[in-house]
Amino acid sequence: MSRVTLSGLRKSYGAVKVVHGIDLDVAEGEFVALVGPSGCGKSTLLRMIAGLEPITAGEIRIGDRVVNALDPKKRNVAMVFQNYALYPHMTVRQNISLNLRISRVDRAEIERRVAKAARLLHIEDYLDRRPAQLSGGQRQRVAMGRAIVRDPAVFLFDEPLSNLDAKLRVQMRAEIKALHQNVRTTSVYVTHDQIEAMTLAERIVVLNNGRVEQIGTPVELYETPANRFVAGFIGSPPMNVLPATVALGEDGGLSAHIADLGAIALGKGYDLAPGSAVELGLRPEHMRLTDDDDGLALTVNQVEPTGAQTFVMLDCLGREITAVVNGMIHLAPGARVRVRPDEAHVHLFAPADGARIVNHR
Amino acid sequence: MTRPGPVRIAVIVAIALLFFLPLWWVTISALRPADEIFRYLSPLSTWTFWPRELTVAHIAELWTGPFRQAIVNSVYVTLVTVVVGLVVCATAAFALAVIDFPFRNAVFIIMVISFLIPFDAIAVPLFGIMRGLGLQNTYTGLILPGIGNGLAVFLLRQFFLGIPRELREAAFVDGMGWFGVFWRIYVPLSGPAIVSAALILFVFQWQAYLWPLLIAPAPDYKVAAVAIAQLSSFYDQNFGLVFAAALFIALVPMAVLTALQRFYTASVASGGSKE
Ligand SMILES: Nc1ncnc2c1ncn2[C@@H]1O[C@H](COP(=O)(O)OP(=O)(O)O)[C@@H](O)[C@H]1O
Ligand SMILES: [Mg+2]
Repeated sequence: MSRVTLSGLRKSYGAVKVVHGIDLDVAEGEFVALVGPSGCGKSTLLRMIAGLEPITAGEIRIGDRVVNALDPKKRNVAMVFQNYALYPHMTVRQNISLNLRISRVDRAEIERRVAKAARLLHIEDYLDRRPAQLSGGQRQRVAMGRAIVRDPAVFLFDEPLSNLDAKLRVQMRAEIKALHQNVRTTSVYVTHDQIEAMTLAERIVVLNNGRVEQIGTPVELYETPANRFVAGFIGSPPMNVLPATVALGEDGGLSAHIADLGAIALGKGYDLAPGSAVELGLRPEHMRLTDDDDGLALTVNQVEPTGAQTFVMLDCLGREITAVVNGMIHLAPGARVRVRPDEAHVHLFAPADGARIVNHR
Repeated sequence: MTRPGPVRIAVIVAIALLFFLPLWWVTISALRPADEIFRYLSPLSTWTFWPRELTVAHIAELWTGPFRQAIVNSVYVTLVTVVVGLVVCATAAFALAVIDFPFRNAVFIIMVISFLIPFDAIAVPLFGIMRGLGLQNTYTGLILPGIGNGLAVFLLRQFFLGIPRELREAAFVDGMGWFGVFWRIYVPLSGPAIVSAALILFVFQWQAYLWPLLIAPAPDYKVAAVAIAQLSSFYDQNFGLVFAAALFIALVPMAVLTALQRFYTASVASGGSKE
């Protein structure tokens, strides 16, 4: 178990820059998720840590060793690949024990460790099968087994659950979490699925186009997204973003006017000049349907009951926004409703660069 | 499936006989007494294709007579060619398929072109080089040109390219180096391609005639293909022995192909190399 430090890490393929200078410190035993849209450089970053991809610039440390120039085998990392990459000609037992055999661990010890990993992952019954004879979920477990049997400095996961069906994915997610709590090996977990990142990770790194957009705990990312990108990426359904204009209210506080639909009080914590334009961010669950006359008057586009909650899609100045309501609600498309945003949970972003506008209150 | 009609069956049998008869004639010629070999050729009779008497004398003579050294040489030279050639061709193919090095594609193209050039075209200049190296009448001289086979390299490379890259990356992370990846991952997954490459190497060396004739004419190093051509003139027209030798030269590749074909088709059918 070791800490992992990336500083100024860059990667280019020829003239194409894929990773643009990343700094990240993963503490010993921590579980960090790298999340971002497809093609943003997550796998590239992970593969650089593993030593499978040469580094264009910057430094990677595992423990207190700079590993930039080290081969993968000298880095003592274990990796779980998206398509598992199990050795098809070896049995599960041979797959799992290969690293130990290469490292010339003695036979009794290998047997003990394989048995332990197999028990932890519930794969004892398949140890003598080949990968081709296993289901997707079982292969996934074997791939995990190959990683945990080694007791490596770091676990690297590259979208390990993306080939599983939804139900199995949720189950394996819980098992990975339990496993980490059990072994507490430093872990870097790549996913494009923000829910996976939120549920698994102690800290999340949001990547976009090879740059870090924000690093923080799931709660920090959710409650104080650093910019519009993070706000839109973290949370499902995503945050609603509406254009608004700042005005000075009678009480000396600011308010945000959404065209002529209505206004939301902002309080006194913002350094904003009256008349300036902002992007107003509102989480779907902070949009309350109300009977009052002072809510925003909107038209229902669509209603999606999910059981515990109902998603109400509304038309707002030509954009579709979502309100999440607890329980079931009976509304037909085309109905007019009043919506009152929760003023305590308003996010503001600068229209120019999407950066969060800080509330100093 | 509908059964073919009598006409088609007749045609099929005729064609089969056409291919089978020469081999059959060689076989019985090797097995009948020497004075009967040409006796029934003209006019043709039943006895042309059916031996009146059988003898294993010629077959035995393969081993007891002057041909023995040629058999030993051929088997030895071919075996070494296949074993060393597989090592050379497979490692070359691995490098060309997997390792990124400068001018890789240029090297590959040169190799492909080299197997398009007929060997006969380079035999004489190659002979000059080998003689210069003092390899005349040596096993090394016989074997060397056979071990680097462009076709075998090409075939293995194409197969290696089909092995998913994640497998070798997983192997690297698991603690292997290039050699470990080659030996523990690529070789075990490439059974069919390795068998094919072995056959290419085998056939090339077993049927080689011009090269052995040039490089190793001395009796101690003469291979079977060369020896058979010289048998009749050297040893008072012993045609029984010639036929026995011809039979032997033809049967060995047939046996090898038949044996390996079973393995080859089995490994293709199981297809288990990729998940
Ligand atoms: N070998 C390569 N050559 C050129 N471009 C590459 C190569 N590998 C990846 N890329 C590019 O780098 C970017 C990041 O890829 P990747 O790290 O796989 O993204 P992610 O895992 O986040 O989906 C992509 O735009 C991809 O096209
Ligand atoms: Mg990826």
